[in-house]
Amino acid sequence: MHFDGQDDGQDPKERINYKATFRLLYSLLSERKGPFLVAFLYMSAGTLLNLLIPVIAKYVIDRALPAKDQASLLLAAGAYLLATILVLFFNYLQVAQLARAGQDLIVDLKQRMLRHMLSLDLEFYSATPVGRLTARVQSDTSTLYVLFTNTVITIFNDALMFSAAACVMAYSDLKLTLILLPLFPLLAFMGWLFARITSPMYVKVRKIASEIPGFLTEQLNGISVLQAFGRETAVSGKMEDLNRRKFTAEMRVELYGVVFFLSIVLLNPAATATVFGIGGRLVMGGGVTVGVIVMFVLYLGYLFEPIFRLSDHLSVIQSSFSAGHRIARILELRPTLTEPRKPRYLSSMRDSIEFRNVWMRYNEEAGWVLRNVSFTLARGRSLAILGETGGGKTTVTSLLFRFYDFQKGHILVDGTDIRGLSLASLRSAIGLVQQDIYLFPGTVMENLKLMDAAIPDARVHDAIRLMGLEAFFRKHPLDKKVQEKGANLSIGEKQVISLARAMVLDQEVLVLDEATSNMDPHTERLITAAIGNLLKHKTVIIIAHRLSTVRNADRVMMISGGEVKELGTHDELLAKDGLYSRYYRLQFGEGE
Amino acid sequence: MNFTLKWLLPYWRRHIWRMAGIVFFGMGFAALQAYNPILIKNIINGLNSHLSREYLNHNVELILLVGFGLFVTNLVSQRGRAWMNAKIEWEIRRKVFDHVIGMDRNFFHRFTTGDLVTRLSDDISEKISWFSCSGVFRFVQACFTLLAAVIMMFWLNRFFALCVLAPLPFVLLLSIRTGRLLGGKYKELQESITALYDFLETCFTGVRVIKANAKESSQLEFFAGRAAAQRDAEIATAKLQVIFSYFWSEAGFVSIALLYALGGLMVIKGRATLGELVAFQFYASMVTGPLMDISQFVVTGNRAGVSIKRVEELLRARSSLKHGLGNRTTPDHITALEFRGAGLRDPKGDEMLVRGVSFRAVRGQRVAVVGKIGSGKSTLLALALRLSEHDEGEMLVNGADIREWDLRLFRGRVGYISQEAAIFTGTLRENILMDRSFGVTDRMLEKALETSQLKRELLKFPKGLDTVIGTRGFTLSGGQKQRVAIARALLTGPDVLLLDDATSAMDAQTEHNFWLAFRREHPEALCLAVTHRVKTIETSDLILVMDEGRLAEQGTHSELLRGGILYRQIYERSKLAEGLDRA
Repeated sequence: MHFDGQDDGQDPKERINYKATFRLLYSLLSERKGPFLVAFLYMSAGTLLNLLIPVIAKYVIDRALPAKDQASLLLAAGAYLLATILVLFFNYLQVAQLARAGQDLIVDLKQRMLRHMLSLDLEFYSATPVGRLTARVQSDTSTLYVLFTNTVITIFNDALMFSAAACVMAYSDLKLTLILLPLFPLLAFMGWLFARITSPMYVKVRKIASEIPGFLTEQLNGISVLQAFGRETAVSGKMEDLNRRKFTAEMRVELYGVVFFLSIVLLNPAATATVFGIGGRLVMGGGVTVGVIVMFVLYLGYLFEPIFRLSDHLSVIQSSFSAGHRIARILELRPTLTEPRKPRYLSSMRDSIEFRNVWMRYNEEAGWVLRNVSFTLARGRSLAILGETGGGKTTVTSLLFRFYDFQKGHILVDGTDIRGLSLASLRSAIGLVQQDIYLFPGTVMENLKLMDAAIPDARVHDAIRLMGLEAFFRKHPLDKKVQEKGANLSIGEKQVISLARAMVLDQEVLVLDEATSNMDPHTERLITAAIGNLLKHKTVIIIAHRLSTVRNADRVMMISGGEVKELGTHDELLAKDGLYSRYYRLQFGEGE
Repeated sequence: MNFTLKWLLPYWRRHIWRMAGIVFFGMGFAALQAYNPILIKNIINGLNSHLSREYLNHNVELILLVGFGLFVTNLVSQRGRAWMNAKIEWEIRRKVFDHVIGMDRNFFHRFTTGDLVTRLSDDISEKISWFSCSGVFRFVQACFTLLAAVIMMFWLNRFFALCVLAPLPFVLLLSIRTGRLLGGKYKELQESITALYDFLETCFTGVRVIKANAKESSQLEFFAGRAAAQRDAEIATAKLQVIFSYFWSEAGFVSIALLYALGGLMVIKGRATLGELVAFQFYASMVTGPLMDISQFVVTGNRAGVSIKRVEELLRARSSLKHGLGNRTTPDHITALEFRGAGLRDPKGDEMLVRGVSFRAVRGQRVAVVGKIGSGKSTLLALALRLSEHDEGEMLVNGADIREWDLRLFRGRVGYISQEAAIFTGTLRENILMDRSFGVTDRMLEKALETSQLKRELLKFPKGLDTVIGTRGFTLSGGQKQRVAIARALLTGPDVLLLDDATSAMDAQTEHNFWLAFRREHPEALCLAVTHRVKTIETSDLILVMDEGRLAEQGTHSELLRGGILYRQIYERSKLAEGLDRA
């Protein structure tokens, strides 16, 4: 369910920066003045033609019928048919044009947002839930789409239609028009008032509606406790209370809605009665023809339409400002880790990676996450990192990619401090493999290339051969489409794909975060073999959970509390009978 | 559709008078609507033949009157429908929720929380609610309107009526075809949107991999392709949508053109009046609207039907807990608990989750349950609490069948602390009291806080017992959550306390203090605890070692150290793990 989580991630007390948001919205629109103008022209043409129709009715009633002129009657009917078809035609053109222009704008905006978001630091991602990020790119932009394609242009059009109709009416009969017109500002005011009164009520209804899933999730997750304590009646009462609040809030806002809209519906016959009552007298006095009266009644329908739409417009504008504000907030963010001013470029690691007395903490107040970490890894060798959760394993690997900066010490690649290297070249030279992955909606082939179309297919085939995974990819053909983020594949199969991907991307250095999940023996063997192959061909730092991985690695590093506790080969450390040997017995001891 | 309507019938019946009002006023609305053009006809014909002032005033007053009548009938029927939609939603949710919270553990294994939440909120609120009254009775009203308009038209002028109605079959046919096309386009659009969401979710969750491999630009390129696909689908849908809308809102124009041409000729020839011509122009725009409600009825009805089946599936599920074997309402305390070859089948019924479990524990004892993940420890506790009903063997309380006890009364004597400490949004006090105000004194609350080792910690909460905790409140540490859950269980001084690994997040000292306080305050209580803590295991009166759903070994620590192979392994492992934690 993508659309239920209306998590707009906004503090309700936060004030919308209307000025900045308006600037963003205006700049988006002004970049595409041309296409929007064309759409507006189509719309105006349709509207003006539409206004012609009551005039035709008037012509039929006042001229063709009294004169008993068959030819002009048929002409009028033809004109009516033609005008209507043209109206529909222009309307169609306008909708198509607006959809194109609006979509172009939105697609551009989405790409701009994603480009910007991908340039931000990892802190941004850890501070914001994924659902909220996707909502920014997808839902908020759709809100703006409605604003640009519907609201903005319809407002202009309604104004045009209203004034043109008023002019034609005034031209036909000034007095009757002057009697009717004051009604409309009053209606507009009512529409505005309605939007003012009900929009906080709608917010409340939405809030209560979103409380229901939250309440249900909480209670159903704790169901065993609730049952154990015999709280069923009390919980049922709470549900009832929430149901009642939803019902009351909905009924209240609905009452306003129904009264408002039906008042307009009631005013319509009132206006019609006015036209007939006053107009009828004028007809009797000979001042006005019957055709004019009918034309007026038909025009009334046109005039009431924009009033119905007004409150919709107001709510779209309001939600667009909220959405625009959230988008602008993201676009304002700046990454702290950027390319150095005079970077050195790294094509591939030739020699070694070295951590020299590295100290790191996430901010001034926090404690050290890494303390005095040092190790060297030569090309072609492998290092397995072990230790408790939160002990600093992942931080070590994150620093190598410069996801964060460290405070003391040096991290050197081929003798150069990574802070002097181009960020992009550093990250291109070192690969990261994560095994808890979602797959992209695309083919298996595209996923293996991490969506990089520049990688030739041949490299994928070579990599598969090198990894000895031919059989696996016969079962999962490369042109197979991945469904629902890989829901049609098991966790193990996804891991195999992620390992094969590492070989496809073909970097000299790999950082591997081994997954812990249990899986069937066949897949387990497949993964063990694949990791073995990577260890053989690449320089690898691996956060290890498998016994075979630890054994196959050239060296083992135990990290605990941010410090390197032990570093050496498997046999050396086992002989030492220290932390590693205890850990080893616990993790891989008898019974597993 | 039959099933759907039949399912909704009881809800309508419960509000029979309101429903009758909706139908009655809906009929009134239809009739008035169909009458309105007659008045216009009268005025126009009158104007053409030098009417009297009184005649004009009379008809104008009638227009106002009919307008007011339309307002009232529409207000009552529309408001009535909205009220019923919301009320039925409420009633369905109440019924299903009350049913769900009474279900056994198997049920909650079969339906995940997410699934249940979707059925209880989205299915009921979004799919069923609107259809339950508006969907059905707008359709009914549309039929009335159509019928009334057709009758009036034929009564007024048969030939004109044919002019208006002739194009309608084509409109209906074309609209159905376009509607089908549109359905296909909507599906494509939905798929392209889903693909984008999936992409973004994958991209953002895997952002480390993307950044680490410096593949930002290829991601953008791929995204551009997906976004373009959505763009194309959106445009295609918008185009078809506008054509589709023409059939409903604009289709009257062919009828009107026919009226102008053929009807006009008749007026010229004096075989019809101008008033009729104008009146029919209004009828022409009156007959296409109801067609939309009619076709909507089918679409939303099918969607509601699917959701109703999903809700009905929950209602059909039966709990295995057996009531009524004898509802013993004895004031006795629970003094002994015995399993005799007890077992529980998994929800599908083909495998046993636990089987052949036999042990006996009496008051004042602590029984430790140990074993690997998935060995059946939690299931054992669920049986003891009767969250699930045993399928095999016997379970005895004070020597009598456990099922003879009234379920509520039995559970009232048992305190339970689940593995994931359940914290509900509310104050700390509310979380501990859980609405049990009857017979609970401040002194009892104080004691529970003390025993659970929470008292010392109250200072850390910004507002003490009145601090709001839970998803939208103050964040508790794992150990604090567990202590809140323990305080909740101890509040009423239970005869039996069940702890499902409920002390794991406490440090060893706090746990030790807890057990000391617990024994001091509740010397008589029988305690069944799933635990990994070496000290707790060692000092238990009885240790149960679970393995693959069987009770593999049991005895005291010293007995099992001598005789238990599995126990020794688990014990050594726990010791190692604790040693490593301290390192």
